[in-house]
Amino acid sequence: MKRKLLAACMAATFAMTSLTGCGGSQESAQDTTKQNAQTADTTEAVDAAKPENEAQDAEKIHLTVPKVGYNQDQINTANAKEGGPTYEDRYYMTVTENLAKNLPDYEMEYVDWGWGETLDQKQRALFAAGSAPDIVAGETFIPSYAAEGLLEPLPQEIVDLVNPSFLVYDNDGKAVAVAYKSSIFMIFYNKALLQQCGYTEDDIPETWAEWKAMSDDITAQGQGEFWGGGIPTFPNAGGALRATPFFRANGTDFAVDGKINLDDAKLQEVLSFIREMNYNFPAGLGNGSDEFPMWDAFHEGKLAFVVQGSFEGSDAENAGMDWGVAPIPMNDAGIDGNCTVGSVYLAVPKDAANKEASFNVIKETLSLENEKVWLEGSYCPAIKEIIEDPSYYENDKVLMMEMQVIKDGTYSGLASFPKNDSAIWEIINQNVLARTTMTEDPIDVICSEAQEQILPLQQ
Amino acid sequence: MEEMKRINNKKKCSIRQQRRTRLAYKIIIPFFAYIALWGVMPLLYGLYLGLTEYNGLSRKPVFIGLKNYRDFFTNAAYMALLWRQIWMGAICLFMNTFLSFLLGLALNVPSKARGFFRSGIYVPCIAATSITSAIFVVLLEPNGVMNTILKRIGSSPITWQYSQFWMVFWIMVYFVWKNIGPAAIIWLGGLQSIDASLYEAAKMDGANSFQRIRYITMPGLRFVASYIILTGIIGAMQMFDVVMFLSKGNPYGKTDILMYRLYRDGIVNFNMGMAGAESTIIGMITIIFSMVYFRMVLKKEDQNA
Repeated sequence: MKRKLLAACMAATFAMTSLTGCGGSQESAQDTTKQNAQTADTTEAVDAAKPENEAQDAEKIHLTVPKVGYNQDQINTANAKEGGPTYEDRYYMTVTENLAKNLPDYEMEYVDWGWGETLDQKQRALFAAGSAPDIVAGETFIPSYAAEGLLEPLPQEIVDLVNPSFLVYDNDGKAVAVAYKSSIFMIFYNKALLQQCGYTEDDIPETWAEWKAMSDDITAQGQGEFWGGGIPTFPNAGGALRATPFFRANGTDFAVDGKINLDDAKLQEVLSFIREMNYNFPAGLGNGSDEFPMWDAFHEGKLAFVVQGSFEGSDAENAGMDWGVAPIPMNDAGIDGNCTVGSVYLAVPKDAANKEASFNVIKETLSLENEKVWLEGSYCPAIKEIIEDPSYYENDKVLMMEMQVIKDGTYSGLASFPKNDSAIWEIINQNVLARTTMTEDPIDVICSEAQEQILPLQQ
Repeated sequence: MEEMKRINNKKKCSIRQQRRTRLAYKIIIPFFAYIALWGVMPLLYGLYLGLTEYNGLSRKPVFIGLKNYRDFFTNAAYMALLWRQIWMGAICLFMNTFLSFLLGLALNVPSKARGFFRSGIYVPCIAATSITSAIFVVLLEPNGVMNTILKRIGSSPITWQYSQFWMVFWIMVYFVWKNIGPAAIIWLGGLQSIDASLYEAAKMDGANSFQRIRYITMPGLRFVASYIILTGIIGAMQMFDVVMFLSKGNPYGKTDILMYRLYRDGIVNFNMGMAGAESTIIGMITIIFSMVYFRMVLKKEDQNA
């Protein structure tokens, strides 16, 4: 009898542990706070108000959304930061407040699923499980979701609200995702270092040849203490993003109609230029796995030029350096190119339970009051109302330049491949870009070997 | 009457035995269920995924038969990764086994500081890989500690990240540094289980130190060695965190290995089908290596017998 009891107890303990484990992990993984739930000052008040709140909550539309607002933990973290919340924190906190105020019937669950690969993994797991969130967020992988036909077309109202550079389209040409902020690349320079080398702001290069000559000269003068700087080839998306404007300026890109394009002579010309410019970095800086040493070197006065998104303006300011900014130099034929960076796209999955409500939330993230916050970080908000009215940013030299570029033409994000997108980018980043600057291997050999590796992935 | 009593007793014994068996099953079933849930089912699902094309976005995996396996064996890049996993794993395994044996011998020498060193060599094993590897990365930065030391002694700095040789070297150093402790402690346990009188007898017979190691220590450690090498083979074939944290497969994929690619194909590139096929292939190869080694050990044992 005792033995039976023991066996029953063990089985019960096992079942309890498993169930508790599952429940606990779900709770902690989501790390969420229901912002609109009415909180009371005391436990008694909560208890008293419970039946009423439960009735209200039952009528509310519950939405699970990443990268839209902040949950209580994130708000606490932002407020605890030295110097207070950053402009990025302020955006999410403002959106959170405005959503609570303007859409009181929505119960928002602000989930923190990280960014980049982590966010992609989480969202794909939910797609696979058939429980897509109400809104999906992301940057480089959103075109893959669009190509898979997973996203609901945006209402025309949202499409009309923003500059076309901020949209992602599906295979049918319908806009399915919108970024509430973005940026494009520019060259930032260290004024003090240029002055030390005998240059003024009038000498800022406008073409590739001018840039190379100036950067070579600064590197020579630096004698191993400081360098001119070139085009980064980090073996990750950071390298591909910064190299892309130069390919586009030469009338080419890594992908043409979704097919790999490494055998293009124009593309190989740009790779040669990137290799030559890399001699203006200390070894290992331009192609390291970690980007931050490069920005640190720039802030410490060891690099004259860096290719970075407009947000570098506020970083350079915070670093206390005397800095300037100019458009990416044009290729020697006088053509410029660019690529968006730092975009946060939002989209509504076709399987989302509350599509209309989700689009209302996206619309709210694009409201003037919310979008204005990005101007503090020299980020370009998506809405035309700001882009087309210079009074919002006339005192910000970076934004003046960025908005002009955005107004002049539409720039898209990194090229994407319909199948095995990440695997193909991995080969481009490591075996093409990084190899170009890490070795002296012939460019055509580098490209043909990578092309051979990529072609089977596209079949 | 006696016969009836005997039969009744036998029946009672049999019923009692059945009850015990049922009870035993009741006790172990929860654990079997646990293993099935977290071990067997994922294994079977992995085997199934290897026969499909699935990117985590489409609702269901599409059955494509053996295409992933064909792609694996006909793609030179995958074969290069498999070969690199084997040779880098073999170097790491050899160095770890050899150096941990020497360390085990050193720790077996009676000394007051033995306890301190015994604990000390175990510390790297319990430290988090993500943290200790980050320290290694900082040491190897172009302006990191290693290059500062090289400059101080008048040597030219090395861009470690550009060189396959140096990155493999540092991966091996890290692997051995991290794994030497547990292996050395196991060697030490084996050494201490050898009867001390054998050494005394050998000494009296005039055997020198080398001969005592060759003819007493090494045969006495045969089973310990088998355990260390077998678990080492499995560990080396599963090695990927060191590569992920230290080199990320760079320079330009020259330190990339199959296990790291499997991880990336699975949850970075979302080529779940290929990841399933890769995990099956690497699992089979590990089993083959382990069985070959096990058979070699058993054969030697039979010869000795």
